[in-house]
Amino acid sequence: MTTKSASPEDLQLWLAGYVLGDLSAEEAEALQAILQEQPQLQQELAALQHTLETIHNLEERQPSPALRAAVLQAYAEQVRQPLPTTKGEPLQGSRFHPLAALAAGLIGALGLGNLYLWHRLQLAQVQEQPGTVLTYELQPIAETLTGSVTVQVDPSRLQGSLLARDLPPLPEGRVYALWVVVEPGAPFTTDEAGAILTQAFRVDAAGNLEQEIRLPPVFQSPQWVKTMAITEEEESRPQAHQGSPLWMAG
Amino acid sequence: MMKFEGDQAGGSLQDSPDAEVFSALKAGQPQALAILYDRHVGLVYGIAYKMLGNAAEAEDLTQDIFLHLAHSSFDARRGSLRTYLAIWVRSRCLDRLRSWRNRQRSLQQRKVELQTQGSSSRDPFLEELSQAEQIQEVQTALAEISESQRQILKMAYYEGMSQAQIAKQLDLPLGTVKARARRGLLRLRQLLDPSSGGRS
Repeated sequence: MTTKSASPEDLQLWLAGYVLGDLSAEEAEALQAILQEQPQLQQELAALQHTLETIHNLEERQPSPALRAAVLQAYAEQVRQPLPTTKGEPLQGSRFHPLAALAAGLIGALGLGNLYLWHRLQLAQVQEQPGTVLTYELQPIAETLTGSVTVQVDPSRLQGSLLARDLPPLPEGRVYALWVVVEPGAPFTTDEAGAILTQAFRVDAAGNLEQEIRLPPVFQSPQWVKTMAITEEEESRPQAHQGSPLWMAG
Repeated sequence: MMKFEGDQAGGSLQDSPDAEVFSALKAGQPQALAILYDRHVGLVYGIAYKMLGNAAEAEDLTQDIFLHLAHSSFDARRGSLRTYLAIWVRSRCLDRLRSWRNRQRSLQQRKVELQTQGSSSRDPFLEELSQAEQIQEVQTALAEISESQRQILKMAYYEGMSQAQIAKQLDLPLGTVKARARRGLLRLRQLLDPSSGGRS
């Protein structure tokens, strides 16, 4: 079946089949091709979905706002220490793998109220495993720039070191700012650019600096860390984040 | 304010269909879960709360669903994520209710009778429909489709049965089951939104 051979009736039936989740492989392939060509059909899919939910009297209801952060935090932990497998297969009737059920049962038994304690336990376990050091090599993003910066991070202690080499010294009133850029949707407070100010610093006359630094808690879930970057900012308010990235980790 | 590379990709993902966001989730992009959560948590939690009748239990199950979503068997090419989620959470609720029933049969009997499929003479689907009777438009539309179409839609969406299971139970060819479900949904869409011009 190809896009060109699909009649309007076929297309309607495929859209309905997609919403009902019963497309054959061939139908799915044909419909995907059509959706690529006609993205406006997503509106029709949404309307059919709405119809299906309306006749089943489904009403959306929002949980407490805290649940979002709890889910995303727990997911971050899960990515680091994956659950054995999933449960699901809602359309197949076979829903449980024993290990998944065990894991889910554990999560269920913990309950939302204990999720925080569970999360802290995971962090404590990380903290008991010293020696993992993350290294970020920040290179100039323009050919006109020189120098480099190495940031080493000990996630278990949220401490690290900043080593700058051959950076251009700055005039009075200006500083370099080291930023952690986090993934969109990460459960951490950032500025509008999705960054967290980590350290403001100046280099010596030779352009060098070696300094111990404190890191934000996002490094306890490093999968949320997109990159690190350095900008030039006003010394009195580096948090204003007015500069563009000059050095950035690859 | 500077913008880091990657923000644009995150922004475009925000506007992408569920299928693309789910693919990003499978590929390990953590922001994809936040996007899918924001889109569908109301549906998942709404069903869980309605069936379990307890906010803490509903939140617990909602969390469980989203935590396992990346490793689920959902195939974004072949079906809607919302339908998959609705059937999944409903199924999980029924499992919990059955578990409660087994542990606390006497205490939970009334709720179980109301909400557990297959163990009661009451039909939760019809009960929910009766609640929807306030919406005359929906009632009228449901009356317009055939009994067979209503039954198949109920078995597929409400009870989470596969088309093959429905075909076997109703002793109908698989193609007939699919066609009736799809035509029933299209007809309902047409009845509930006449401007759609959908075919039946």
